[in-house]
Amino acid sequence: MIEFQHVYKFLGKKQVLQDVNLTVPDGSVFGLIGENGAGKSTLLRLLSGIYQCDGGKVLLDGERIYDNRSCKQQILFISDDPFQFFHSTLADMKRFYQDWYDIDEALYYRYLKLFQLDEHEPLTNFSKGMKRQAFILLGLAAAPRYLLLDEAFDGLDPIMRRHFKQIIADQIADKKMSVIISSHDLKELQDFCDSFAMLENGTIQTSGLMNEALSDIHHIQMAFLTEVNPEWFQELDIITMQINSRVVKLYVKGDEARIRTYLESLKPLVLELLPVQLEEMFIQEVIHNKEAVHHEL
Amino acid sequence: MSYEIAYCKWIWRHNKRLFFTYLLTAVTLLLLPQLLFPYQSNRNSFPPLYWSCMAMLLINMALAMLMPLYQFRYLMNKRSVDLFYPLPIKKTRLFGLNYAFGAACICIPNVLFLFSFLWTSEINAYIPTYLVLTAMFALMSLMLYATITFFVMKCNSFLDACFAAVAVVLVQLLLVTSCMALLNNVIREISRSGGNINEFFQTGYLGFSPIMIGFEWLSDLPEAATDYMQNGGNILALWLKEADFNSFQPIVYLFVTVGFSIAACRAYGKRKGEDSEQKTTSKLVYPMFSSLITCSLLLYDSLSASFFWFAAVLFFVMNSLAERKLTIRPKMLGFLFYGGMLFLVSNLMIETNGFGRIREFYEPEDIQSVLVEFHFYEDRENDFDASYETSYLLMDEYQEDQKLIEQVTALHRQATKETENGEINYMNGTVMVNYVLKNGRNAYRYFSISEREEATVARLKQYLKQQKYSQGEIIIDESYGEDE
Repeated sequence: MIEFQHVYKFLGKKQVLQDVNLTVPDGSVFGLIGENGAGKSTLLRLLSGIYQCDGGKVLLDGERIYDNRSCKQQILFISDDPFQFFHSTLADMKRFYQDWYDIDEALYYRYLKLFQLDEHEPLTNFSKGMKRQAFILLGLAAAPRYLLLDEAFDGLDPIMRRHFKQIIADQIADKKMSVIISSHDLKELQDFCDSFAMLENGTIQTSGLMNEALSDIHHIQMAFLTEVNPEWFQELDIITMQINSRVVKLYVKGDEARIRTYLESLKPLVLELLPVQLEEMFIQEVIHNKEAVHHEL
Repeated sequence: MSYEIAYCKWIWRHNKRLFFTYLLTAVTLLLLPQLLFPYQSNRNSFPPLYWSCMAMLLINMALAMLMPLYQFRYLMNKRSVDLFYPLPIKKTRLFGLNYAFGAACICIPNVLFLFSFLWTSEINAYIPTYLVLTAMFALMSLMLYATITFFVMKCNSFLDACFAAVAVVLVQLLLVTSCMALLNNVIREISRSGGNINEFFQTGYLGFSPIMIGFEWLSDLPEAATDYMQNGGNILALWLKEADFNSFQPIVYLFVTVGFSIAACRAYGKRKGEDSEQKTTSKLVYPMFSSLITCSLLLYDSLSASFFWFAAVLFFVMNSLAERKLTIRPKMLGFLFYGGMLFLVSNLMIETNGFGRIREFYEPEDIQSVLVEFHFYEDRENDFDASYETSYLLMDEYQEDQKLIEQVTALHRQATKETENGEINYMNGTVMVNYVLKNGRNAYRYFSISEREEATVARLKQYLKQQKYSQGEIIIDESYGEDE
């Protein structure tokens, strides 16, 4: 199990991570979501031992990861723009990774066929998507205990994304691999991740199991006979509220039954509870936090 | 350990083509001089393998500069750091393996050079000398390699690393050259009738630059070889004496090599993953090197305005390179102001006669022996065209005759004083004196004599005629304007 305990990280003078506490369960797909510059890649680099935290601990099974050979052996990091040696081919890169990780040759060739890549073609001749596929292929064939993918879906076409999700699901089932993915493509993450963490300005805003988090947020649309008064909703844990005369749109956190009972007591003409998407949740959280900062200022 | 072996295997696999190319180049460069300048027994001036030795020194030094850049270039790129840092190997071992590969590449040409002895049968007598030279060159290259590696570890971009590598070598050469130039200027100013650095200062400042020491050692080899050809003996012993080889030197080099290697390893360990592609902020790179290079240039000729401007412009260029933009800060101007004050050092040295070390004259009691050569220009019937030069080669070896020493030093003082006062109207001749001092050093003086010294010269001539060691008068050239 991976744990972040009160982790702080500065890049230069800028604080990138601030008191991050996080637990990544084994055998799951963990999604890291957040705005640009929220600290997702930094978190992955801390996890892979590239960066050392300035405060707190990053642990794997209770051991610090940084410069720890046995921990790093279990982690493979594929960055958003992976490095390849001068004029190297996929076969060359495979040979390089083979020295460090136990690459399953059969799996490698199976995926090579699936992704339709030429292993003897220099990687510089590959398109961005093909290069991405090539490195994901290597990561999957290496089957480490933790596979870290930065901006995993970047450059992949929908068919490849589907293949990729299927392969990861198989790997988790077969080899008990855990995958930690950072991505902006929240639609892809929603039906793929078991748990997630939402980062904002270097802190964890929300984390937990994907289903629980999504069922805890509700998108509500209501219409009233009279003009809507914002004070009516003070009892609720509102993320965002949009009032348009007699119509109100709400994003509310909390137990669905309790919220419904309360809202029905306001005697609305229309009351609708709509399912929330991860992308919506992310946007509403970001808007909510930015408004809170505005109010504080 | 398997990961270390895996990494070694990878280094080998990744670099083997380049390595073989390098090996071929090194072999060609080492053997080519031997093929172009084959050994000849009557050739006294250049001993066998001299040019190969020169090539080896250059290869060693070039590699010492290039290998740290090549082996640690991955640290200067964010993407390659993302690939190498997560590998399951300790950072210090990753450093160690890369460092060892670089060191091996430096040592291989030296081993090749040793093997090249085998097919040159004529050089048997030279083998111990070349063994010492090869070992010393390898050690000096490793010292330079360790030093540059340490500074490369302090850099965050490849351009900065290149600057550091060049600066390490440049600073060494500049410091030595500038020290020599400063001391020469001071000596010239104080001792108008001659004198050189070795007379007053030990050549310890050469120690700043292994490259210069290497060339110095090589330049001493032909002289030792000539001595060996003429008098026989042990060529190694002759060379060691000629090169003023100090057995303490290898220990110092070894100490510096180990010290910088450890420092480089620690600097690597402290390097952060996020450092790559950032501005290099270590005070040991741009601030130190730009200051040292500027100071060296100012030392070279601190009284020349053009040199000051050149040094100032170079200083700003180096600082702009560090910032990647043209920057002028009050701190920089302050540095240049104080740097410009270095001319005070020259003046101070001149005023204090090199802090009391530089002497124009030596007292007779300081002198062990003397060798004098007179050249007189004698006028025939007051006609310059008909004048001729007479040389008195009075002695062919150093004399310890106390009276001679006294008369020569008196003449030296008198003639130099007149030259300083501008009292010479007509030059009668020149005198070259070699003094061997009781402290073991040598001094060389060259001065002109005029008719004012006639009485002193006459006394000296009179005295010399009575001495056994006197060789008499030799007319070197009697044909100024006359065909005999």
